[in-house]
Amino acid sequence: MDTNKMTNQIEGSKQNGEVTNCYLHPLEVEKLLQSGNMHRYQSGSNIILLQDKATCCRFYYFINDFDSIIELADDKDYLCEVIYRGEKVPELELEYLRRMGFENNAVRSIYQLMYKEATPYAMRSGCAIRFANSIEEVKEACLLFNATFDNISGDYITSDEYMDLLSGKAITVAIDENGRMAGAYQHDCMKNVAWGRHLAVKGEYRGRSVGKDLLYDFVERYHAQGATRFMLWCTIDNVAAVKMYETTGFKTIGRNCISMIRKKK
Amino acid sequence: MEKLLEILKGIRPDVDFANETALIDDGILDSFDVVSIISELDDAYGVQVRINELDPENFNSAEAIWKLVQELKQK
Repeated sequence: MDTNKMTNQIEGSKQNGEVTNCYLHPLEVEKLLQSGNMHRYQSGSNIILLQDKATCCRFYYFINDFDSIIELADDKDYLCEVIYRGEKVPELELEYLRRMGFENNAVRSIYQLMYKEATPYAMRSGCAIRFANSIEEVKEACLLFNATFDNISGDYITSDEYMDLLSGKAITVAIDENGRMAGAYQHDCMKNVAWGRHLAVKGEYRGRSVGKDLLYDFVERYHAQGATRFMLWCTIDNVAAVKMYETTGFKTIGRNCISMIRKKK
Repeated sequence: MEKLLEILKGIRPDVDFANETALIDDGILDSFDVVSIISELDDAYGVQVRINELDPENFNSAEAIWKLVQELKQK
């Protein structure tokens, strides 16, 4: 496949008022296409890119003609994320996706904390917060994440990722007085911005500030390494999580995402 | 430049565009922000940014973006 041509097509059409949900750098798209993990389909002037993920196919679109629908194979689950700013919900795109068989799944928003705006806090769950220090702990944490979050839109974690998560110190765990894992947090730092990824607390430990202890530990840990800005995506109807982030000092920055799913038939 | 600062503030109200000099290098702006900025630059100044102009250095500060706009306007 001529990926340079592909890049030019995408770039060229973008300048003609095309709508897209693909904010990957064109060179990254080319790399994914060349690796075989992404596939390109075209119908008329519309282009879609399908990226293979562990539990689904990630769907990116470049729509020029809203009357031209691209047929998808029925043997896969598809995830399409439509990002928008503020209140400008892209109804035309959502309607197009519904006609393709997608259904609304969740609305997420980015929450951001500037360190200087963090509310003072004292650890209170009684759990020890530390990095996961064995593959078994990483596995337990990831199974908790996968059980807590939607497996299609919630970034399912496969066992292939365990070693990197362990060596990268990407998971902190809350351990109770009996040595049992009460909750876990997956995170990373991109340049000077620390990102919270998955935060989950086991059912029997909820309401005991385990999540908030994990969150504050995340903030303090990365701040000690130089981060001043902390970001995460949160489902807006997860009232308990939103409250926890807001009372910590996190605020929305007007960036929202509607995830839409098309289930296999 | 004032107009550009207003545009940028409209995209990311939480960012101090007047003083930040490492918007990309520090991970403050991501690709969605950059695409939004490019779209707004097109609307406001009639300039199109092509892939080879997506150099991070062109988006590290309001001043760098302003310089890019000036260069594109002269093309």
